[in-house]
This record gives sequence, structure tokens and C-alpha cells, in this order.
Amino acid sequence: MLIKSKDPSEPKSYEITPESGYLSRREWLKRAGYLGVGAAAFTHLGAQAKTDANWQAMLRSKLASSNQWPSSAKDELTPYEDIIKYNNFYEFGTGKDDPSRNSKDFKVDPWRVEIEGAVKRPGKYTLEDILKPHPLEDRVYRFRCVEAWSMVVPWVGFPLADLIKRFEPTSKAKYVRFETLVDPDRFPAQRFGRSTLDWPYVEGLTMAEAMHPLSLMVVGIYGKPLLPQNGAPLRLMLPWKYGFKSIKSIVKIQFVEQQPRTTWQRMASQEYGFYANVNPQVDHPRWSQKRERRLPNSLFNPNWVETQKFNGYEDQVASLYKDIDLSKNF
Amino acid sequence: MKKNTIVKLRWGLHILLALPFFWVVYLVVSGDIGTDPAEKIVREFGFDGACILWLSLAMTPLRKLTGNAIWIAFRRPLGLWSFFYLSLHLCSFLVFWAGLDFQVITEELSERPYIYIGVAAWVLLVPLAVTSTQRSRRRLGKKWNQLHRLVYLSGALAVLHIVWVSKLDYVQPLIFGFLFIAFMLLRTEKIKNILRPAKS
Repeated sequence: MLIKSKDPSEPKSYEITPESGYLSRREWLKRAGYLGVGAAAFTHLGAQAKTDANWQAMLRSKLASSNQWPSSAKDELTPYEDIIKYNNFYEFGTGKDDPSRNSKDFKVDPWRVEIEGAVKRPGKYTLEDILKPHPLEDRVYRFRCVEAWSMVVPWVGFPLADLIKRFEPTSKAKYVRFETLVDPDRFPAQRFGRSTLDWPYVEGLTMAEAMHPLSLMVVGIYGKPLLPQNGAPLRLMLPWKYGFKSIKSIVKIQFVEQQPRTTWQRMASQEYGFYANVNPQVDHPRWSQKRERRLPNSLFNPNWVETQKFNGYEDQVASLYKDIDLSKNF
Repeated sequence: MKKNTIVKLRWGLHILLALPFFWVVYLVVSGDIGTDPAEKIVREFGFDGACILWLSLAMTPLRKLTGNAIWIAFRRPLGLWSFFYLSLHLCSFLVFWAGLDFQVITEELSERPYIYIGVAAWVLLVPLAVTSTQRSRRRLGKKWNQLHRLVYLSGALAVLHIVWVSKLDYVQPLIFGFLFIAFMLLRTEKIKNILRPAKS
């Protein structure tokens, strides 16, 4: 039985500014020059400290007692330093070092995940709600960026399928749509006049992909809680797809009937498709996908590695796509 | 302006233009070059070369705007230094980024437009670098001016290269493109007439 937080300090729903009003008021304040609005703007959400501090403690305890997943990749691990310093997270800026540099003040407190759509148990879940029933697993997955570089990362998380089952999706749920946080305070590149992508960042999966045993809801790396540049507090990890599918800093999960239009699809649909399965046989229009640079590399050795179909997870996922033409549905 | 001053200014310019190179060397030597060193180096040298090439294209318009010929004295150092950085850009692409892997190089060169456009832009600069001396200028006479107009074609190809290489951030390509168009417009007859200082 799912118990939602009954903390008396949590504001009643009528006390919470509807999200659209809240966001446009913040934008107005920004344009009027009131830059450090952050703390003041959050107080109307009430004192969430108690609930969210519980989550931090819970996360640490679960991380300490995580299980080793038996099917972890055998490739050499990418060092932690590289994983936390070389990131694509445009909300922080488009440079590879922007996310680590610009996320020093990123707060995960308070955080809510909205569950909506074709489910029997929608609602606004706290991180504690989300994490509570799930033991964590250490899974080493290969991570392949569409830019043709890759890493091998020891993620810590739990199966997305186990989370989804708790919401009890109905038969109308054909796709799962995810959204990332929008907050100019915490994401410098979302401030007025600075954006590159359309916000919020949106990603989607078919129900079959979302329920697949490999789809992971991630809360940590190398046994440590996720850092902001890696998508704190919650992110997906879909090892057989290009990295941009593994959406970070999730605030909304919707169960929908229509295939969602994802952010990169909207920006350049001829280059980035809905499935974005790793496939050396389907090149990006502007560069090859036949090989990748395994990072970290060195000056005299770029460490080119042959890209494998489905990033080496063909045995586990090929059946999802047996009736699909992968060159057209990329 | 005294010849002495011009010489001093040119030396100062040389020192300034050498700094980006030593910056990259410092990054490599100090280990601060990041997770993918080749990617960073290729990108840095490309950016340095493009900026300096753009500076060289700004010299003629600046002369027209200020009426001072000193800018032309800077044009050759700027051109040669940009060729230096763009050659490093190409070399580090071949040696560090591709790892001198023949298969990688031929595939990238043939199948990726932004790569062979970039190589073409660099190739056009080679005869310019070779004929940059005073002796060449004297020997070629009028043809020297015609030959060196190739820099405009090189710049246009460079803009295409910069646009195609970026995944999404269009700010830099837009700035380079806009400046290029501005520098070209400032050279056209109509604009020349507007800018020419009033004759007595």
C-alpha cells in the first residue's frame, strides 16, 4: 500500500501556487532584475526539510547495502573524476565542463515527482515515497553518447519496471513520458535569453522499453549519491540507447497513449529520433556511428572502440524491435 | 607613425598571438586537459585560428574606418599566425583525434562534409602563407592581390565548417558568420564610398 507523505508541515494543495503561475511570476521577477529570488520563492512550499532529510539518510543507508547485479559489463570502469567532470547537461551550459562548474549551488531539496496520466495511483511523490520500497543494485552499464564517445559507469539504482508497477498503469498507457526540472535559479542556462534547447527537457519510451529489465532508475554512481551534473536526484539509464534518452533530474512521469515528441526530436528530427538505439549501421547525418571514443583516452591514444549494435545489449533488447525497420525508426 | 613604433607594436602582436599556443601546452603539461584531450585541443586550435583569421579580415575595414595604415602592418602577422593555428588544428585532428588511424581518417574525410569543407578552407590558405613574403609580393605584382582574395573563400568555407560541426549551440557560429558578412560588406564599393574620409 503506497503511503504518501502525511507530514503536517507539507502545504495543503490549495496553498501551492499552480505551477504555470509560479513559473511565470518567477520569469517576471527575473526580467525585472530580481535575481536572487531563489530562497524566498521556495518558502511558499513550506518546510520540507524533515521529509527530504529523511530521504538523504534513507538513500545513504540503501547505497551502503546495495546488491551487485550479476550481469554487469566487464569493460574497464571509467574513473569517477571523469564521470563527474565530462557531461552533456545543457541546462547548466553547453560545454562539457559547464555542468560540474555551474552546479555547485544546485539543491535537491525540495523535490517532487509528479505521476500523471493513465495510472490508478497518480500524484505528487516525494523522493522518500519513490525510493522507500526498493533495494538498490550496483549495475555497471556501458554509456554511449550520440556524439560518439562512451564511458563505462557503475550506476546504482532500481528497475524502472518496479517503480512503474506501483503506479498501476491502465491499458491506455502505451508510452511513458518524462520531464526534467525547469528552474532558472538552479539551471543557469535556463535563464532569460540564454537557452539552447526548448525546456522542459522531454524524453519518452514505449511501455515495453520502460518495463524492460535493463531500464534503470538511477540514484547513485560508484556507491555515492548522484551529483547534480549526473542528473541528481533521479535519472534514467537505458544502456542500449544513446545517452540523451537517459533523462536526468526527473520531475514528471506521465503515462500516455500517443508517442511523445522528445526534445532532441523537436530540435532536429532528421538527426535524433524517438528510439535512438545505438546502431553502427545507422550513421548520424553529420558523423559516423561505427565507432566511439572510449573515455578517458589519452593524447596519443584516442581509444577508438567499434560500436556494437544496441551498445552490446542486443541479446537482451533485440526482441523489442524485431518488427521495426531500424534505419527508418532511429 | 615612426617605423620604430610599428616594429615594437608588431613584436607585441607576435607575443600576444603566441599566447594561445602556450596556453594549450600548459593545459597538456599540467594534466588539466580533460577527459578527451584530443577533442579539446582540436577545438581550441580551431577556435584560436578562426579568431585570428577573423582579426586579419578586420584589418582592411579598420584602415578604411580610421584612415590609418598601421592596420595593414598587422595583417601579415595575423594571417600567418592564423595559418599556424589552423595547421595545428588539422594536424591535431589527424594525429591526436584520429590517432593516425587510416580507416578513421579516410572515412571521416570522405563521408563528413564538415571535415572536407574544413580541409578545403585550410588548403586555400597554403598558397597565401607561401606567398606572404615581400619578395613574393614584388614578383607577383597585381596577381598577388588576386591570389590573396582566396582568403574570402577560405573564410566562407570556415563559416560553413563551424556551423556544421556544432551540435546545437549556434551562438558562436552566428557570431563568426555575422562578422564575416560584415567584413565582406565593408569592402564593397558602396560601403567604401561611405567610409572614405572626406577628400579636401
